[in-house]
Amino acid sequence: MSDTQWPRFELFLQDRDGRPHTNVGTVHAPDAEMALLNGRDVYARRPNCISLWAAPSAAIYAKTAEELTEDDSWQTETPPDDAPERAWYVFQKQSQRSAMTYVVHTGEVQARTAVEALQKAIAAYDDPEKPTWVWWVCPAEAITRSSEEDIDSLFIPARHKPYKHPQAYRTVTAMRKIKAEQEGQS
Amino acid sequence: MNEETKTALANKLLAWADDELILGHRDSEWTGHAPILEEDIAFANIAQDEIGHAILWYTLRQELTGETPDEMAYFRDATEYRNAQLVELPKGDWAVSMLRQYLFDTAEMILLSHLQTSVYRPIAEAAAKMRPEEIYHFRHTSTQRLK
Repeated sequence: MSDTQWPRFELFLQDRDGRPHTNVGTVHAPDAEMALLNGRDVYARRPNCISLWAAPSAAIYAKTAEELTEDDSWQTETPPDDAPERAWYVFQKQSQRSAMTYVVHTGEVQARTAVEALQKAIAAYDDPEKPTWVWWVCPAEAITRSSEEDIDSLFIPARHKPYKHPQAYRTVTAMRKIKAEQEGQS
Repeated sequence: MNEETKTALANKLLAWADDELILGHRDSEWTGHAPILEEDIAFANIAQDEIGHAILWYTLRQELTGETPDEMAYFRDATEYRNAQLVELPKGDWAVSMLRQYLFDTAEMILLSHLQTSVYRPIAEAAAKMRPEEIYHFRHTSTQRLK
């Protein structure tokens, strides 16, 4: 079945300085620039954001912990020697608690293929105290990033608009008042 | 400020505010009907920004004439509006709306960059506030135009 949609991009959002980027979801977009612009409207309208990354879903090599144990061929695969090494970003899901985000950026490895990147990521970042449910590796060059200059136009406007948050509408207080008035009259 | 200047300024603010309000409304007609989900969301955000700009200009005008933004938005007849004809044109198809928004955004980029140096401080401040949002609008619609 052919996909008539635009290609899919994964969005990664950094809400504050010093915090890692986390995967917040996907958009369909014709290219990375539109993925960032539309991703900002879909995922960064209410949450705090200082940096947004977009990567084509097709560029991401993803494995769940289950998949890794079911088929362990990944452990023994060796890449061809003449393949060039490049930087791969590592993302892991180690918590089941957050509903709105998925994997978190945890580090970087040098590797020649996706599988080698995964091997090295697991070797470097696996923590028996805190099991990883999902592993993603993605070539660093596949990621398109918002820049420092973008912060003013892309992310600051949302901060001046508290009316976009439900807390700005004191409906519970209003309803209680109305109910009290009605009960006072009856 | 003498009366003549005040009147001229109030009329100018009215024209700018009406542009934003009517354009915001036309844009909002696409909510739920745009051809692409992500574009629907983005365009609704643009519509919301434009109406926010309208409120800003009406509020500045209120300082001169006393009329509130609500009065201007809800209690006027069609003949009392001073918007450009471009913004009231029917929304047409998606390409038409995108192009209209692109033309408006381009004009706004030029206008707002000049207004930031206005000797009338409220206008300079309002323009500075709107500009980041317009930069995003322009980036969005000019990128779309090329696709």
